[in-house]
Amino acid sequence: MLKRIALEEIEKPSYKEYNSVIIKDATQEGITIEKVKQSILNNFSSLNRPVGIEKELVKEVEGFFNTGFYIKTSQNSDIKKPIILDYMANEQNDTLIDYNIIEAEANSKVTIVFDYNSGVKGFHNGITKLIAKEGSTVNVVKIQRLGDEFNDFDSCLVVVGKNATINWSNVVIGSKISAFDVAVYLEQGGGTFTSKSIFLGVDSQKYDMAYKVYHQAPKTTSSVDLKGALKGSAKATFIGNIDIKKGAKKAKAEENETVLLLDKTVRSIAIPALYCAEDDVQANHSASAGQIDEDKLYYVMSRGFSLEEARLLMVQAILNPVIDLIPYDPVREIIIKGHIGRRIIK
Amino acid sequence: MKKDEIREIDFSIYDIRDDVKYEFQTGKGLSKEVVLEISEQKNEPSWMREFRLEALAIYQKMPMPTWGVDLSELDIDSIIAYIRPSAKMQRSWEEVPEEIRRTFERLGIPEAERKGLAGVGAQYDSEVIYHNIKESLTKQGVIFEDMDTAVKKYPDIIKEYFMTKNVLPTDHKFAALHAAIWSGGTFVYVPQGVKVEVPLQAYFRMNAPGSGQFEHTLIIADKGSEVHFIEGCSAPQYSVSNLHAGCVELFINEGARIIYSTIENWSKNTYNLNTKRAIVEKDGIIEWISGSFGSKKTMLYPASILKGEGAKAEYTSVTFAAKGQHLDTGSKMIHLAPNTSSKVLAKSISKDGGISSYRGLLKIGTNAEGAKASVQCEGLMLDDISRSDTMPVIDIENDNVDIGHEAKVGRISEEQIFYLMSRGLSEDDARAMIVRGFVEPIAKALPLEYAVEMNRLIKLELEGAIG
Repeated sequence: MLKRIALEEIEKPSYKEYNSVIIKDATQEGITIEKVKQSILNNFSSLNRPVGIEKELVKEVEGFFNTGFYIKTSQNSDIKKPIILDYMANEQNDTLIDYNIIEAEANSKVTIVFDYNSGVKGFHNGITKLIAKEGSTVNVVKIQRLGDEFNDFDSCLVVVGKNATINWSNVVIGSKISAFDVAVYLEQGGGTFTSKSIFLGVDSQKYDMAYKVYHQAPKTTSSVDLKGALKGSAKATFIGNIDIKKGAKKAKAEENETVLLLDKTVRSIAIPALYCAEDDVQANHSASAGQIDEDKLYYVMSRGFSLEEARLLMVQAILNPVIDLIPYDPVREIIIKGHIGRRIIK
Repeated sequence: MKKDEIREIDFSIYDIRDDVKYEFQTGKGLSKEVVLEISEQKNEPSWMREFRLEALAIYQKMPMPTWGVDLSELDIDSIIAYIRPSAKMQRSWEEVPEEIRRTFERLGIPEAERKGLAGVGAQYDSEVIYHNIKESLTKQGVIFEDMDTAVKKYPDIIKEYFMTKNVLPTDHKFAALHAAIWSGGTFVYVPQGVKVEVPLQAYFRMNAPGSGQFEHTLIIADKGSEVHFIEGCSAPQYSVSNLHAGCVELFINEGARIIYSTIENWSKNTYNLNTKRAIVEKDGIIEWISGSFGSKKTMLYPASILKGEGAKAEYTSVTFAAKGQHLDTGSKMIHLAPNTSSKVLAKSISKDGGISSYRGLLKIGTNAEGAKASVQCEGLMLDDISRSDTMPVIDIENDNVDIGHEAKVGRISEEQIFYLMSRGLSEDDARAMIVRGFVEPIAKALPLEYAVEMNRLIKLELEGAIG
């Protein structure tokens, strides 16, 4: 298999405190949020399963996390306002090692946004574990818009209970090197995992993105959709595993990756694997890559846009549907107007 | 389609073991002495002997592959590297010893030659026992020789091309093994502009238990030429493992075209670890058509290196993994030049605990401006104890490309069966019909006799479960 991240190339920072996280709308009925500590983590031994990009990175978080939260919803609660975890980086707080646990009790509903942002140079390594109990609905948006000189790693574990629904989004636009790994266990009947994610890589950014979906129970459904654009000498690796285990009868799995290639010097690697040990299933994956349709560009330019503007429009057409899912207006505006525009039009 | 019709077909022909006398064999295991002995027996030029010894040294240094199928049960040291039947190579079937001729007659080879082949080679265990080509082709300068003869007759060409610029002994352990103890196979040269209109065929038969077959196929298609090469493989079933580690090297020069068809039906005690590669120059075309039904474990990934501008490759395959089989196949498409295109259609059927895997690579290099590629994989599961895995790698280093990949896995839908049954078919017949429809794109690409053989193999495999 392809080697994912060359860890030896990454400068590991020495341990440092991190104190610049802000949580918006933390006090709402039906939800408790507290700082994560070892005694809490000890209660979640059921979540000790293979996770993450590299063992080394996972160990580092487990041993040296300097921030992170334990978020718990109460049964049947409907958390109206999204919880925004604003993990901001700056010169003093450039080493961010977070360990987050989300426990959604039965039939609760919640939306949680992780916004890793700002800073110039630094290091982020995190673990997020989500356990969604029977009938719960959890929406998670993970935004990574850290500074251009950041190394970013994010290992996520999602355990989907009976008839629970997870809607997941990764928005990856920052850092020099950025890797995430989302392992999803659909371990009880009727569980659903839907991911709609995007990335935009420019200059010499390197991205490594993986979704590993394990269908272990009947009538589980998964859908992974990743769209992105690459410019300059950016490189993106996408690993998408659908693994349908024996017993997952009537499982439905879908996976799709679309990459827009904007320069000759980009590199795109996709490995959409499909493992199937059950016959009564519907599983398919697809991947495509190519340039912007010239006819479309021509049309837009004939309406008075410059080539760069036209290209920006095309990229936005791919990325915006996911950005629109971010339930927090200020961040959405910044991403659309600031990050994406600035990166496409230089 | 009547049920009896399916049952009537006698498939024991593949399984008949012949009582053939062997004139010479190296015995089990692999060593310098064995390699020297093979070379000695073949009375080879010294350069080939040196080449074999170098390859052996590489083989001994290389590790076994740790991915793909489980090779832990394969004990190469118990495989007989070289075994020669007491038959000299002949140019007419009458002169081939009777028990060997009978085998090939049962498999329908001489008949096929009379009907519609331009040339036939037949290999029995380690040695080619029959080789013939139509005179009209010889006159046009087409060379169709067994490999051992070619080494002596055309040393300059063989020395230049034999595992030097296509497949190298250093590529992997089984390529090195092949280089050290290869025996038999075919050399084809098609001169500039010559179009061989009827196919050439090689049939490989392993008869001795616990033996290995290591045939080498080298085809050079000169500028603007065309040739269709068909290979068929079979062996009777034994309780000990057999090993097949052949090697196919294709050179497709400017504007030339090779169609390479394979119907593989090794017995289910065979490890099929084969290497196939084509180098395609400007505007050349390679078409791989492959049906894999036999063997215990297969690892085979035909590679197409699209080196010249406008080169094209197609890979069409069907894999049928039944009880006890793990067939790990796929294609490698490597685009190195502008405006190259490739197309993959891989279908697999899994049944009775069989595992079929598609493992492919699609690589678009920095110079492959305007490359187009599509990969389509379809897996059909006939029960819930089998497996179907798809592991494609798509690696793109260029922006001016058009790439699409699609894969799906599923079973025969109830709606389809219901529809066919409403038209008067029994459930079993309906299933059999759907399976035949599933492999249709491959059957269409094969010459008629082979399509018929493939359909028969599918029927045989489905017997019991379907039909």
